[in-house]
Amino acid sequence: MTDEVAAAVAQAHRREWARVFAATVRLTRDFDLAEECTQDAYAQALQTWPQNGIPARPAAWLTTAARNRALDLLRREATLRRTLPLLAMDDAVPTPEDSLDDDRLRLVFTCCHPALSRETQIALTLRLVCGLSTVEVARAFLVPEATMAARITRAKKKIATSRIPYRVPSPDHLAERVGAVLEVVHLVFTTGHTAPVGASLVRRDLVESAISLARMLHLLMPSDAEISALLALLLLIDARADTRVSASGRLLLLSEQERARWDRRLISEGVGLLTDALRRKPPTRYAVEAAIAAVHAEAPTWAETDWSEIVGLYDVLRGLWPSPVVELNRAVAIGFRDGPQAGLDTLAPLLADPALATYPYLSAARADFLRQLQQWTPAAVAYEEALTLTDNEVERAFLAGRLAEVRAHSPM
Amino acid sequence: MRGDPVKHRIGTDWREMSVQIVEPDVDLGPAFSVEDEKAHPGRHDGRTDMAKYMLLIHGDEQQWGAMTAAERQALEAAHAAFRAAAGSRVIGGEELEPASMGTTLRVDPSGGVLTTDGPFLDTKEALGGYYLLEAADLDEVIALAAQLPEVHGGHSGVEIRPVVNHG
Repeated sequence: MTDEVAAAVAQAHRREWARVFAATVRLTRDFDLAEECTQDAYAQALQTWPQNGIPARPAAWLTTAARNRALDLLRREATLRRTLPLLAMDDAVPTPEDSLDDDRLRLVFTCCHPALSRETQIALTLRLVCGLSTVEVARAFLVPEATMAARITRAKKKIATSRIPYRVPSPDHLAERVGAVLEVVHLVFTTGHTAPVGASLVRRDLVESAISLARMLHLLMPSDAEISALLALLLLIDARADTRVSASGRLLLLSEQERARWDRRLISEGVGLLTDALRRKPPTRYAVEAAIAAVHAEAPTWAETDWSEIVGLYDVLRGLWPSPVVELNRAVAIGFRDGPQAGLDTLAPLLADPALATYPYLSAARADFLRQLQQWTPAAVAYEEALTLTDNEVERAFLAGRLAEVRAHSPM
Repeated sequence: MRGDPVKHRIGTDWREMSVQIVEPDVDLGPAFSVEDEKAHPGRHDGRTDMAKYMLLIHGDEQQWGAMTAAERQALEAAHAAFRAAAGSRVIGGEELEPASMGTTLRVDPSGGVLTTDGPFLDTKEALGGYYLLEAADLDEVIALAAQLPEVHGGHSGVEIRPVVNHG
């Protein structure tokens, strides 16, 4: 029973934290107090549920417990709180016909307000919306816990004193504000998908936080094509999660991955979402990225990958989202379509781009083209360069293996 | 690595952005890009729950000094339009004489008052003027302040600072 309760509480924490916390904020108008009360509610669940059983609707139970705790504290501390700045929110009674009336959306838009820096938006979203502890957020972004705690405290103070409103933006600002939220979700995902530093390739906690955020946004704003496209992208990429590293811990390239183990359920969900997004709106950045992932997901084997289609999609993407990194990826796709010399020629102009000066994947891509062309010495130099720029240990091991391989051929 | 172009893209494409995440205290600055709008009409009137904000207009004084009469006129018309849109939310506001007209007071080593000619901070961008506003929240202020011509001036910008509420 205790194990079962512990699992139920853990699951409710993962799935319902945002709902419980956001509803409590509405009452307290103060993030710190709401955090305290939400944590209390989960602690109370651990004590009460073994005796009284797991409630049929855990989120409702937890919300009631957190709000009761808040009311209790508010009554006791009424005089003290008069001096604190409270969150700015509309007093209007929520109207049921307003589909965007959800406290979780208020919370997300507040955490991702443009008056907060991008890294602050990310930290607040992980802490307040996903319910990660400060220690977990600090670990994810490789900063000391004290630094992360200070950043989060400062951000909460700025929200209160500058009165960043606890509100879903008006329709004329919604698209732009959704864009900022999606960038936060995407950055959380990419940071988790290939950890910038460390012993493991993936930070599963961040990947899962990003996907659950995207799912929540999609649930709350189902007609937003941009959200559907981002969720599709994340699911299509994550479908390959289990096949990216071998049993012995070696990095497996897309060409080496065991496609039978790709998650078909996630792929068909992603393709469905993408199809729906494309029906609603002309392709956007995330939709095109998802389309590229879908081409890979649907290719029965590596050899049957439709590289012309992929190059064509990168051509569309560079129009929508001009970036030297898109150019690099397009060059790699051209290399697969037209051969390594064509790829090498396409990425040549990128070598002078200062934005890619310390970008390890440019060196790694160049090294691989040179390796295929059996230009062993320049290939070795390029692998060495990639190694000095890479801090993820799984990627380093892969590059070191390739370097040894080309050095064996190289006269030097 | 090259063999996994999708991994490339997703794991790394935006690495140039994700790198910013690990910088502990780099403030990327507020990205105000709010379109002009009538900010929440009707909300202001009758709301007692208001806060004060200072709008600090910073810019390159040389460029302000080099404006033609017509440019100057357009600037003043834009400020008049801002004041009309903000209505009773404007509590005060003035244009300031150039920083070189300033006089700064500090303490000298002997504990007396040292008077110096010029601004406190001698920078290329100087404080050129201010407004004191009253508003319900930051979104309302951003929507209004985005109409100020200095936001769109290139060399200039507007900083929004909440005023300390002493209760």
